[in-house]
Amino acid sequence: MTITATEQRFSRRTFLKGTAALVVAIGAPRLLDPRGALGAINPLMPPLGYLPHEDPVGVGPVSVDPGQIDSWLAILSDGTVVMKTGKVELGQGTVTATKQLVADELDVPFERIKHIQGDTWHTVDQGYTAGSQSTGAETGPSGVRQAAAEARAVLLSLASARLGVPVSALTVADGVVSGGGKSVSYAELVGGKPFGAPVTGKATPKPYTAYKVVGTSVPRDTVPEVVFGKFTYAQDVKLPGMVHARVVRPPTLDSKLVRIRGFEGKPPADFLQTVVRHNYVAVVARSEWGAIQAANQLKVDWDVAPLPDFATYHDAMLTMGPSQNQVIQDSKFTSGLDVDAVLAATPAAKRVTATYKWPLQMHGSMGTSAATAIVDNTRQVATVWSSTQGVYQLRQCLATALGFPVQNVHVIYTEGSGCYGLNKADDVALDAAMISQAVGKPVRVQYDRADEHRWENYGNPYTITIDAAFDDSSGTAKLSAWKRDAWTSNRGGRPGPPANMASGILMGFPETPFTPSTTTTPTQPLNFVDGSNSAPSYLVPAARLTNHTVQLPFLTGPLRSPSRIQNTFANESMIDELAYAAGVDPVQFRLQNLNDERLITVIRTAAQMANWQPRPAASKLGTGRYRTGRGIAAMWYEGALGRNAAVVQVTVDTKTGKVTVDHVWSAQDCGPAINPDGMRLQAEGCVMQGISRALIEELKWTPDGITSSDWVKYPVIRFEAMPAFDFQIIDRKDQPAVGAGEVLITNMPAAIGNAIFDATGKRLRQVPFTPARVRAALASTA
Amino acid sequence: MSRLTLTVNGAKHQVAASVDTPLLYVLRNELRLHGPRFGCGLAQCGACTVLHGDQAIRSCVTPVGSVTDHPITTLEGLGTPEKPHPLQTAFVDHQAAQCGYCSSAMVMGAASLLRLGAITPKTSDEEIKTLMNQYLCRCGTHYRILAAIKQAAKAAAA
Repeated sequence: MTITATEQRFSRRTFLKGTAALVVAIGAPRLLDPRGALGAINPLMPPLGYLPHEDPVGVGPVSVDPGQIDSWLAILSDGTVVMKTGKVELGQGTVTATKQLVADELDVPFERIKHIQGDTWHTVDQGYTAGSQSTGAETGPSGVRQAAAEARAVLLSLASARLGVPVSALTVADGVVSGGGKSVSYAELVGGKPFGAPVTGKATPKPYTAYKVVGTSVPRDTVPEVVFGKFTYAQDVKLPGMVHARVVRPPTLDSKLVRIRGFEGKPPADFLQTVVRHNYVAVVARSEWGAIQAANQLKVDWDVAPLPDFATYHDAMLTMGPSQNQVIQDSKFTSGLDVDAVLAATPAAKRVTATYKWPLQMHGSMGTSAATAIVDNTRQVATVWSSTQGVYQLRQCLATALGFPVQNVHVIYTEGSGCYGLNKADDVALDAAMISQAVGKPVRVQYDRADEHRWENYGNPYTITIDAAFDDSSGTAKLSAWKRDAWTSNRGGRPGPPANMASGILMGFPETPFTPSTTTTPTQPLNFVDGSNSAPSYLVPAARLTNHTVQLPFLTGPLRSPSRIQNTFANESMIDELAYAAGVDPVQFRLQNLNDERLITVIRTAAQMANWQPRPAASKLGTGRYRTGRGIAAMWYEGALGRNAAVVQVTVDTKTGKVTVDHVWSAQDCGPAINPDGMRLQAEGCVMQGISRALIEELKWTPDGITSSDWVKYPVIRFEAMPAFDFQIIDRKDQPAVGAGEVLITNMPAAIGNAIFDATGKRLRQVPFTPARVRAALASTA
Repeated sequence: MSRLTLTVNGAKHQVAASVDTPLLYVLRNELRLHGPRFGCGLAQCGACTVLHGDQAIRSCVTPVGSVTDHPITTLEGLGTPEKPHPLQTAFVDHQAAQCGYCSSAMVMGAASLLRLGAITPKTSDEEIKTLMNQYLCRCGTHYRILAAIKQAAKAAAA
């Protein structure tokens, strides 16, 4: 099949149809000299004063040594403290929380701390800013908290020598060390100079109980910049001599370029050229509007690779093969209990089998991804401004694609629109770099809305079957067996290989081969809550958990609570189904199958907040058109991070099938709350995004392509759907601090599904719980 | 190509543009105003919202030639850190931004509703939600935005 891509791109813009635009401002700001302009764009470089006015395009270090204090902290001659982190601000507030730690460790005012984040020349490679890992990383032995404790020790030692007072007699306040009636400031000790000292691992950070700034709700300093329009997003980076580019995508990922037919009539004003590589097509223009028009008007013939049937893909994953199959937990290898034998011996009334389905979902950033790149082919150097979650990983990807050594590629993080995981920030950086290399000019690329919506690495689809049982012969219903098979599809992912993302595949870079495999020896101990929450957070004596991975023709990648939200939807729905079968109150059923005291506390707290009335679910069904119910879900995120319980109240319109979330009560234990308001804000985001993903969001397609191309065809939650929300933080200053960005959202879908069951007696096992699915469930006799 | 005179944030600017160029690109690329942002190009999300007189408009689909009759106000022109608009004060007070990419939608959209009298100190939460339903936020900052709008409505009336 060959179609032209032009019609679908152009039709929605008819209101703007007409002559091409050349916009020339009279009295527009003069172009700054490149270094000055770059300094203004990258606020982290010259303005801080301690870095030379360096040209950001050049050869940099291969790595920044995490073993040196100077890699983490600098003290300027005016006493400003510069904090340098590989972890970056995505809008989640992590930089503010990390600055609070530094303020307390060094005893300097919060306002005196500036930061540099995510710069391959200046910050340590701390991996991706993802997975709720930043708080744990920065407070752990390899993070900036430890570096700050080391810096404090060095400063006290220097002060001791300068003042002739033993360290034990020194105190610090406001960045000034005092003792023996004398004092010296940090700036006087090391201002403008390097520490020149290693991170020894011997300095001991203060306990959380001694912190004064940590534990308070310090406002994020980016908010004023944002609301006064002064904030520089990745979308705002502009370079002198820059040209604009847009991509021209085929209908589907595996389609082939047949030919570029060009424009009908004259090219749009400002059009410069196309850039073509394998199945990759981009247009370049002097102006942004010129690039947009050129992308909309360019006629390209594609040989379309059709997509699989939308209606049946969840079932197809089970049989399509080839697959990777891995048993991850099996009691046969530990206690010798065979889960199949336990299930076979269980009476039908005490056994539940169910299949739960989760769709492909998108990150759906409000701003389409953008990046700006300068590639100098003569010097073989490149600099890219990107809102990537991993500057080092992107650097590797770009170096591979450009054919440059890694140290010749400089990636500078610039915050973008909220990403919630692997949105298209990395892909567009690849576009910008490769187009810049092709045209020999600085290039800015920003995606069209459909390019962002249709070409993401989506959150993984899942089909999860659980066959589980309980035993109440002792008088208390206890889980006895849990056999779970999860099928998912995986293709591509975070950068590293350029072909982990759409542009890399279209450019013809090789994809990592998908190799079928089967492993039956378990990789995890029994009842181990792994990094994907594959196992429920409860104790089960007989279990077998198996993961199956296939490859549908959709790119996938981490999306807020990746795999954890899908697995928890299945696990916490099944727990509710078992509680119902046992005739036990769902809160009580959870409590009697747990041994984790902190999770028990969280569940009890949430139930108390909601004034939970113990009774079996669906035992008080309403009769009118609108029926109200309550559900709970709880889990320990990744078995290592935060614990959360959520109680949700819904109202179901039995006529239309519309579900409304009325109220959410949640309790959460993430150790010490570094910034309680920041944690609360993350929880609020979890409520809204969680409802959106549970009730609305589902990627859709036809054989000819993904149809979820905009906010009408892929809607997300709006103001009208806001429920009442009560949130309680269980502040554990005696415990390690862990991330809070993805905890509550993980419980939302199951809690909503459980509430729908309580309201209607009908179980929804496929996300999203659309009105059509609710109506179908209400009409069923099951 | 036409010569157009636009009043933006209180200053007159002459631009040479074809009249159908969307206002957004003139503001961002010629006048270097980054408050209005590209979100969808389809008038669906509101990230590009600016005021045309007192009306909130989606600059991504508004031809520049159609807005020369009334002054344009962007986030940059609504207030300054020294003289903030009550909404800007309230958004900071309530930390009503996570990534903040939607802040033109939320602040400029609400500013128009305040100027037009659609939101007053007496407007209920449910009414504000209905009025703001046209603007998208993906981070889930809705609780803070609602609280900020209520605070600003009171401050603006005082």
